[in-house]
Amino acid sequence: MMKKTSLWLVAATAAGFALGFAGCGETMPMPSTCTADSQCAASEACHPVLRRCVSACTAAVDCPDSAKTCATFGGLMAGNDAGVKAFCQCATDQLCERASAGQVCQPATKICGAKCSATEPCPSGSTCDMMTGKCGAATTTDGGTGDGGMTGDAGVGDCTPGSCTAPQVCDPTTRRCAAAVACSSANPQPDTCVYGLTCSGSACAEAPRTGVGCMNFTNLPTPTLWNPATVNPKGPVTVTFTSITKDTNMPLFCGARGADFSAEANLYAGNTNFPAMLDLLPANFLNYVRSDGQALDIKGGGGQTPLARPTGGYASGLSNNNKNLRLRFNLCVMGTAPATLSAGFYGENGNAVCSTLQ
Amino acid sequence: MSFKKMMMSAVVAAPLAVFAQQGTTVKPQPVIPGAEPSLACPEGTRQSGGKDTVFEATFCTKAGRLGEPLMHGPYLGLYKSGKKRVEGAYLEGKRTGPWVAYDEQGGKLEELTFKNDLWDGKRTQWIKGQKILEENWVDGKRQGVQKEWINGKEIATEFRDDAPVKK
Repeated sequence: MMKKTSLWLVAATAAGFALGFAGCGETMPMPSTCTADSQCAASEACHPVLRRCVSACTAAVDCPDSAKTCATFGGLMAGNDAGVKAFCQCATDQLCERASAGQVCQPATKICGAKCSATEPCPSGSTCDMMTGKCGAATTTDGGTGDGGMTGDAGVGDCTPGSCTAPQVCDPTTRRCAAAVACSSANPQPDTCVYGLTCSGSACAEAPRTGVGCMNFTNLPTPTLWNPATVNPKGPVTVTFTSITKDTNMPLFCGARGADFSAEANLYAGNTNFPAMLDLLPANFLNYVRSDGQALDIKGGGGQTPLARPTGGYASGLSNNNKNLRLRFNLCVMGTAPATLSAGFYGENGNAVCSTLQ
Repeated sequence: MSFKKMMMSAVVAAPLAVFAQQGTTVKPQPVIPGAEPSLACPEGTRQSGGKDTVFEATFCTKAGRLGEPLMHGPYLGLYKSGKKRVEGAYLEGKRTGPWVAYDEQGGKLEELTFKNDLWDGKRTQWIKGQKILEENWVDGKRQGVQKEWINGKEIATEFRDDAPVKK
């Protein structure tokens, strides 16, 4: 293995490249762009935002004090066997400032850099917060596949949801299979997991895609093509979708007998907060999908009956500054209700899920 | 019009049945008699819904092109307590103009504007009087600088056509 000092020098050089791109004018010769680690030197990794080769690391001991986290861009631990190299990442502005006056830990690149401004642009896909001088976490946009932004444009070699072998997950940030990062499901979803993943127990996992192969989505395939790495705008992610005790508090739902089926979906928000009231939801934002593929807007409106109670089914389920939602809704069956019902659910630009309600 | 006739009209005008499953339906919602507010419904519409219906709101409906009930006119959502929950308006079945949501203590929770059922204009959210979100929407897409306050710290992001602006 390369000596620690020489690794630090490589890291400093790589940081210089990063600074040249992220914070300052291009004062140094730039290497050619990369899209994969294999295009970089053996001791380097391809930075997914900068698209430049930066110094790789295998453990925190390889990194300088200013950037002591050795991880993949998506936060996955170094040393995983997915073939994705880790690089030294900063964690606090204080440590960056200590290494070089005026520098901050740039969220978009996870590398110490100068503050961004009107004349110091951020890397492609991220935006400058003029107040803090920080480049927001970078996102990728759909180049236009005619799919309503659901799938985006995956590159050669990119993983897609469900394509990795357990216990690895497809990291939506790097688009590579990698070991799952630790998280706590005691915290609001997705906790420390990146968009597209959920915290399952103590590790990040891919968001459920039980709508894939489910008959409810046979005639409505678009939501099943959801790819968190490329979807734009990022829609709400459904973490769980289950059957719950039937709603009998509102006999008007299915006449005097009460709801025939009741379901609960737990979601976290994508690009924007959930609205404070069901009545304010955008049209077709949260949808129930029948077995024939017809999607029904949970909020109703226009002339349609809502499937959820505005207060008890929606507003009371908001939490974490409207970033999390526990949605409860009811279904009625004409005639005699069957013992079970196959139900589909998805949020606009979110994952498709299916469940057998009882 | 007698009260009985008015109630019958309201039942007839209740929103279209929704099919929750193939061959299944949600039954039309009758208006529950009680202390409902009197809305200034436009000519040709009638007041429907009620705070004790599944809508938890009172609104105006008229017959749509195929005879289906269509919301048109003011919309007033109420808590069970009778306090205001949300207020806005529909135009030919689509939300239009300013809409405001309130908590049960009368504090604003959210304020936004609809145009042709799409978010269009400034959108602001509060929780217990503290502003947590300020966005700008045009025809259902975010445009311009969006601000969010997390633990009192402001985070600003610029958007164009719902995507962060590339610099």
